[in-house]
Amino acid sequence: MRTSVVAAFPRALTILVTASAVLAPLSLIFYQSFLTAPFFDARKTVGVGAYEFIFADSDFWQASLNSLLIASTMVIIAVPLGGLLAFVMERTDLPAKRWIEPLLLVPSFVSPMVLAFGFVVAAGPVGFYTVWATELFGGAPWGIYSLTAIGIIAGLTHVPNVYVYASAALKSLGSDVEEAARVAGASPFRVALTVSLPLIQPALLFAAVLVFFLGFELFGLPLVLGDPEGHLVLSTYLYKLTNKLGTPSYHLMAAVAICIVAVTFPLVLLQRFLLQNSRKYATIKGKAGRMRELPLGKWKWIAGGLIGLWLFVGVIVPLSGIALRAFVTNWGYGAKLSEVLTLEHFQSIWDEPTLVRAIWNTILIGTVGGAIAVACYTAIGFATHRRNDGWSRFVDYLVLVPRAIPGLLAGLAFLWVFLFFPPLQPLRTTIFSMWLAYTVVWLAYGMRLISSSLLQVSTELEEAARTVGASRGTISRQITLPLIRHGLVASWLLVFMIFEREYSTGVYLLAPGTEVIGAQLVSLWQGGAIDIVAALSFVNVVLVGVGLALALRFGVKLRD
Amino acid sequence: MAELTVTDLHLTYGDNPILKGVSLTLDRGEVVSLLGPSGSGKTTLLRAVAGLEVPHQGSIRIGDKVVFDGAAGNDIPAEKRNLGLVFQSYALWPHKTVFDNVAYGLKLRKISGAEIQTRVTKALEQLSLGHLAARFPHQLSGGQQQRVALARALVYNPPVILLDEPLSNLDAKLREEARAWLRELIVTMQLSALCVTHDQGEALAMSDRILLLNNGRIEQQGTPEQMYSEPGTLFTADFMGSNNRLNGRVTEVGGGHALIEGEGWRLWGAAKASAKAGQDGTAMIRLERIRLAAGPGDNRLQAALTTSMYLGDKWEHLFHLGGARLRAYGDRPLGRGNHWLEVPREALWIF
Amino acid sequence: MFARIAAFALLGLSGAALAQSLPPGYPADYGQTIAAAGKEGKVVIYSALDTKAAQPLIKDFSALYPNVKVEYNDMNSTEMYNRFIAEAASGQGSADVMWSSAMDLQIKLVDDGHALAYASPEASKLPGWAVYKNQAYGTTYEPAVFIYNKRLVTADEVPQDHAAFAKLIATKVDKFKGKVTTYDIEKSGVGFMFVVQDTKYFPGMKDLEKAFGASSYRVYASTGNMLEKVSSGEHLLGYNVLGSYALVRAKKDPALGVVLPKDYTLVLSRVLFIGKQAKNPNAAKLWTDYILSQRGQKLIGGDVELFSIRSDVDAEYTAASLAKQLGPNIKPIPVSAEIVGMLDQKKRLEFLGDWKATLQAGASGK
Repeated sequence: MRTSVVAAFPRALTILVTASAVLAPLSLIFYQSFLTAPFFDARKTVGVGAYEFIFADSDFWQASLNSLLIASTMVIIAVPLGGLLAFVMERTDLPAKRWIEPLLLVPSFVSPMVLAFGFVVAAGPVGFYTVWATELFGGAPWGIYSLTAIGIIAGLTHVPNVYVYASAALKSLGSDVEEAARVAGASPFRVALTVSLPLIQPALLFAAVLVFFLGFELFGLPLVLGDPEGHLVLSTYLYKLTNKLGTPSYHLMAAVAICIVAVTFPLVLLQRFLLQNSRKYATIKGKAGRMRELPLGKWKWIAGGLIGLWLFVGVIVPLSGIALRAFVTNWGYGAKLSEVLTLEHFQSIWDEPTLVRAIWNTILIGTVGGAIAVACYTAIGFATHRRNDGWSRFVDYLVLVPRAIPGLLAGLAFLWVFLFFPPLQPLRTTIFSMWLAYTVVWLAYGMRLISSSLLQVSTELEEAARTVGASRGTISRQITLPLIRHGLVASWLLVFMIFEREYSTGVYLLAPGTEVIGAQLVSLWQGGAIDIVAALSFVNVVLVGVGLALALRFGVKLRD
Repeated sequence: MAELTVTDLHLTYGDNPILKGVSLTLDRGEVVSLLGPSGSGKTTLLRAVAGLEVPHQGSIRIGDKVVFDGAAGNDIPAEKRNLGLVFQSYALWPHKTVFDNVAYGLKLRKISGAEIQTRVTKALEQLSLGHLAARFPHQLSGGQQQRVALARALVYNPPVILLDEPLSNLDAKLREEARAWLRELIVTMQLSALCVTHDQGEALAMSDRILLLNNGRIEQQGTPEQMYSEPGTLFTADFMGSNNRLNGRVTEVGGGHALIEGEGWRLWGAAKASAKAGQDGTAMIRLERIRLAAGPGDNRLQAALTTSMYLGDKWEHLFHLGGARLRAYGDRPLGRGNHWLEVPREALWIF
Repeated sequence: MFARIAAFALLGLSGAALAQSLPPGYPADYGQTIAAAGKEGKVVIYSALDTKAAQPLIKDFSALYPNVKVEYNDMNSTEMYNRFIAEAASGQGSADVMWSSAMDLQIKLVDDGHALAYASPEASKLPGWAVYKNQAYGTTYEPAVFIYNKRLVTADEVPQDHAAFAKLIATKVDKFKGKVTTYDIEKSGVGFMFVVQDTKYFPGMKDLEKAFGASSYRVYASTGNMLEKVSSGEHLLGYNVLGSYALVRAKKDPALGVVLPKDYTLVLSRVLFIGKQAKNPNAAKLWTDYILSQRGQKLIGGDVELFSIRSDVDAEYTAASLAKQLGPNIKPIPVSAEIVGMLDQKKRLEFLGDWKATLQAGASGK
């Protein structure tokens, strides 16, 4: 009896800490939404005034509608493109696939703030490409500030999210069912239409739901691209409330956040349901043998060209824009590139201690912070690994919760926790506060990485250890952990890149001592320090690039 | 007339040659098995015939139609070859019902709805699946899935049906029943079938002819009886059946016979082509041909009993002779100690 | 051992500072304040002015009081306010000095009792409207200006006063459609404050708002964005831009032009006060007095490139130099309770509602 209490203790502690880290900020937001003033204000009263206010505000409804439109546009663009891309990459003889594949995932590792900013300087009304196009052809037939444009850009940058799921599904789909159809007399195109696509439909549906709710949480793109024409979405509406009444309106922001969660949380649950449902097919999946690649013939050039175009629009245009803007003093019509080149912006960063600290902190939070985060995720993973009790199911749902909260608000809630929870107060102005928020916000992502590693360890290996006399804890440490160590290193690299790119969570946590590049970008963009934004974005892209190069060097699969 | 002719087929994965010049014919109404250990290229050969792998040399003809010709650069895609293929995994489409799985090939052939209905129903009836038409594959047992896969491959009357390890996913008991049933079906329906298997028992029972593949080449081919009782090479002898083998030195060869000697034993046997006097050789005899003897005699040897196993219809005894082990069947248990074993001269092959 | 030497050095230095820097008019016990500040060792400042821009002040202050370390944190003005009240409520202590261009928020904090009363010996040198209850002080004199793109707006188009601005965008709709920018008054407190003042001084404000609506103007949360977009030519004209930042950039940027409106020029003054819960009140007093002193103001009008509020300072950017250009048409926004009125939720939303309605009327051509 005593041993079981001792053995259960680490698990109980892990679950308790996770639950508090996830639920404390959420309940604080929930509570705040039913107050009339900041919860720490003595004049607050309980009421639904906040909801009344936002429901009466035409901006709120406009923002909701815009969010819905953008999210739908994203689904319409990202799902077919992602599915098609996956089919081309997994099943055809497209040349140079090995080189193309890592490029496909780049948009999901670059901060949307950086991408959006890149689009402004590259393809905005006086962007580099626009100016060149105007000089060459007398005009540029694009605009990037309309609602449609934001939806299209967001859709294009979310293609990787769909691609990852669709190609994983195609990979695990035994090629035999497709071959069976071919032998039965179906042409390759017919096979794709009547067998492959219907079979990966659960994965596509899953990805569609994912993209849809990511659309609802979109922040960086509409913040930057929606500004000039004043298009609000829910998250930027929320951000705007910081100032609309002159003084902070935390209760209004919390109410909006709860509205967003009311949309996203059911979607997260739906996703989970879809995932479980899709496993139904897995039980009789055939053996994944070698598949004869489908010859594309002359379609090869069209497919390659389309992928190239997409990469050009989604990656090369914004990133080259950033790179150029970081090295020029001013730009636009009439500015000559040779006359405006400069390193001054990097000098400015170097001269400003907060920005230097931001860079160091960002590296630190990605490397050390990422490692500790992976350690935490692993601990949570072990707490539920191979246990099918109520607690495991509780944790399963628990880790999904942060996914539904927009990072912006999660960050604000963590600020409150650090301000008003005495044991944490001394840590508020340290990078720990930022790290904790990041770790919780990305909990669902991290747990997916860990559990996919854990699931690859066959049950028998652990049972074998059990039969020779190892306890649960010993098995975890001496059998399972060594077996998943490659998976953990891969997870660490992925978490590193995610932490480098994160921006919205830090916006409210930004304080002297907790500076990180992502949040600094939002703040500097608001302040209009465009030169610094460009240079800092460039640094950010370089950091992510280093992570990506390392990941590829060590053969990390960039997706789970 | 040959329904299927494969001539000098070569196939390579990267630098790794899988088929190194394989030829075969399959006549109408004939069942030919491709037998061999894993890695011998048997499945690759079958898939090449189906059009799922691309050889780089040789030719494949179905009836009088050339579907692949390496020299002419002619490669008809799988869907145009009109073959029936039963996958090892069955590869039933999980999102279609049993009926739709079977009907798919007919739909692709633009057959009218009413006729599809009749033909699918008939095919399912034939395979005793009529009551399962509306089910989804994951609601079926393994044996039922296998029959659906077969119905799917047969329903459009392909000239040749290809079977890739059709029984390997079934339980041992079910497998023997299915083997008999499948043989019966093929014979009554007059099918021409090419069947891949790694199980020599299955090949012997099912086929009119067996092709034994070894490392990308045909080691030997012939009727099941020929393959079993007249192996040309050590590989064939070893692969077919359960064997005793003894390593020794060949001391005499003549008149189709050879003498092989080892530590404390010397045996006469049928000389195979590779047996040369004065060289090391291998003697091989099927388990069921070795006999227990009461005492010393011609072509007998003495060995120590290690243990005995009861098999139900007989006993299997295990002996040690120097470093070699010998197994023999008997109809009763034996006492401990040394026993004499008789090795009939005509049943012992010397390689 | 080391600590003792350090303490000794500190005392020695503060004595030297005392002797150098005590100008006439300072109370005799000011030395005690300096000594106490030395013991506190640092001053924590929250400011809406970039660290980079404030660097000359920080360096000079550190030279003056080497034993007081300046912890300078820049953030936007709303964030400053939010952080300050949250930290104050949590009882953990917040900034010693609050220094922000959001004058209304600063005054509100003072009215809500968050400021420490401190009669600066420099107060008498400031204009009367810049001193509030001996708690908050206006420190700068920053005009609101028009900006334009020099490459794309012709000299004869450049509007010299508010009426001309309204007329220009109303008449040349094709050229300026989508090319006029100003503060998003829902996002920027400063922008909001400016237009509230505009309605006071400019009778044609409604027409200007309509013209904004008709030209589908673009709004941003900060001056930096407007400067960037006008400089690049994405927009052509900027309205109510913070002149201090605009003039600095215009010096280096050949594309950017700046106009001080001739009919009247609004002037904003960065408000500074000492936090009531300040942990380093004496150091905070030193900073306050330094910023208001002739020495600090000379830097503000010089290297910092804001505008000095004192009339007795000789520098590039001063209230006096502005007065020389504009005469009596300068309208400083007073550091007074008057501007807090608009923080009232109802009034503010009404104002915003009117503003939007007028814009829409303009957009639909009424």
